[in-house]
Amino acid sequence: MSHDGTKHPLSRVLSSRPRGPMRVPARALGWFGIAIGLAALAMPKRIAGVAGAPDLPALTRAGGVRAVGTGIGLLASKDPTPWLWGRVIGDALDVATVGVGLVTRRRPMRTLASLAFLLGVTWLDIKVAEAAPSGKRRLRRVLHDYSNRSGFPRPVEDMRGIAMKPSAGMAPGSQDSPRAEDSRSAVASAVAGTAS
Amino acid sequence: MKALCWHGKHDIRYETVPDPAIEHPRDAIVKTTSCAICGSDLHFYDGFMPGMKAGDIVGHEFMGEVVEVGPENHKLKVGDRVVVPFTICCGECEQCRRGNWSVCERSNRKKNLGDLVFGHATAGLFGYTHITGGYAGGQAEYVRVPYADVAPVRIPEGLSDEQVLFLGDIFPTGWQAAVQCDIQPSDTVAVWGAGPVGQFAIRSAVMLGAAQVICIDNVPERLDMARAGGAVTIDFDEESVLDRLQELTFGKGPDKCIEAVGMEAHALRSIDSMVDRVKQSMLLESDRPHVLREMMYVCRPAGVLSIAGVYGGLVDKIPFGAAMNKGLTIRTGQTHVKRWTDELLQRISDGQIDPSFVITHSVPLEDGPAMYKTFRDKEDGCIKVVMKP
Repeated sequence: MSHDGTKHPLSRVLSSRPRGPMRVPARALGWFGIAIGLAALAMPKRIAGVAGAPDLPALTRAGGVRAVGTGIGLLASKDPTPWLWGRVIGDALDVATVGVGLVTRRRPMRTLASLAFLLGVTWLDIKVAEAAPSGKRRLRRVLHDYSNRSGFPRPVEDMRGIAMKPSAGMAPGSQDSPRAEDSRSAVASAVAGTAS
Repeated sequence: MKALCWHGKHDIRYETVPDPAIEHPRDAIVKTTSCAICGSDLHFYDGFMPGMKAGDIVGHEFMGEVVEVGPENHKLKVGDRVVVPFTICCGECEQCRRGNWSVCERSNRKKNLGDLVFGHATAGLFGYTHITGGYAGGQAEYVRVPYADVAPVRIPEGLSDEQVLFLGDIFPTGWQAAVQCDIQPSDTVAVWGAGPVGQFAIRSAVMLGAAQVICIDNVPERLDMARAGGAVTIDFDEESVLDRLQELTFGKGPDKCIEAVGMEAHALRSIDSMVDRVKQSMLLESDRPHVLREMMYVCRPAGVLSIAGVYGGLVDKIPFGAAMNKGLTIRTGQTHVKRWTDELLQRISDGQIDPSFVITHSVPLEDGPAMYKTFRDKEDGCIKVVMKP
């Protein structure tokens, strides 16, 4: 846990350029797309075989380029929303492509399993995209102003530690109270298992 | 009478039910004048709290006027104005005598079920699953209050319902969360969740003398209200919680951490919560403990974790190695409401705090079903809903 600056060690691993409600899953989907895309670029025949898709290396590579592109977009953009919907469109193309494998491949069960996986990824992409309103939409939302709702009768700094002061009376007629330490002693008693 | 009743996930209905009656000589019947929707009500609304039955009257934050008392109730009289704590306690068992009111050994009338789920049953609660007694709740025109000669708080003249209603739950819950931190004048206290309990935890930490209070959430209005109460805020949608906590604590981490979120941390905001959500759908895990994990990881060594958020069952992948090796103290529990009510009522009377600041919506009880959705979805700046039967 020790460190030499204000950046937390774990945040260096998790640091994320996207901003907004879905920045963490958006980043995860970005890395996922890059990994799948690179695999499709490097081993198109094998990937197509595992997925039960038609054996068309050029088409598989094109899908890889698209997945890497949207992945980089998700990691590099401040607003991930357009890139998330780009992934959804890509998912639809992938489902259509793999679906052809039901006709051209000999092992339809493998293709069906691949389609089930793709539909699951599509569902996740849609959920994340829906939950990630774009920056402009978020700015358009009407906000209520609660900046005057402190609940305190005086500025916060005047109230800091008020419960620990021996005399708690504030309103006219209030009495000095022995309650200043009541709360802490109550917890201490409970922790010790004694009557409070 | 009319009441809000649970009929299933996202199905709360305003309907006619039988009037309550005195069942025990220590009972009282209270005519509700104000009640509220609590964040923990959303757990059964969203279908994550087991032990609910169709037709259960819900709600555990309520107050009103005493209209009938049992013959052995010598504390209350007809006409008294009372706030009723959500934990039902007998006042006589060993736990009650120790001041551990929320684990009363007698008030849970479905003790066997409680024993089965939690190892040992906890106190009965109003309007909140049969694991905690299956008592009819307070989002109703009338409520039967068991052991009414113990916990209900008589309200003096001059204080409005809005000022005192939250003595029944969220104010003592936020207060207990802060008190359990044993706050020292140099402490930084981090509060996860800027809902109603988080708001009271912030103000309690300020009143108990914390040097700095930090609040973590992502709803702009809630963060706005948190800042009004004296907190520095972190919007986890816009910035790294880890980095900001490091900056604000000079790399040491918060001394004390308060959890005011509970079992339904955002399912899509973090990888671990996404995994939790998938597990929940397969009944492999009941709660999403993202905040617990984050707190254990970021808390300063020898710090305190105070858990006010409600958890219902099983959680996975808790970094207990971090908690153990850093020597963290973990304090939790349903609120021992009666332990705090006299003191907090006096603080309200003294003018130190006006709890009505948290109310954003006040509606008739019949609008309750719609307000559950508004509150759950945090629409229209909704932070706290008060309903009037």
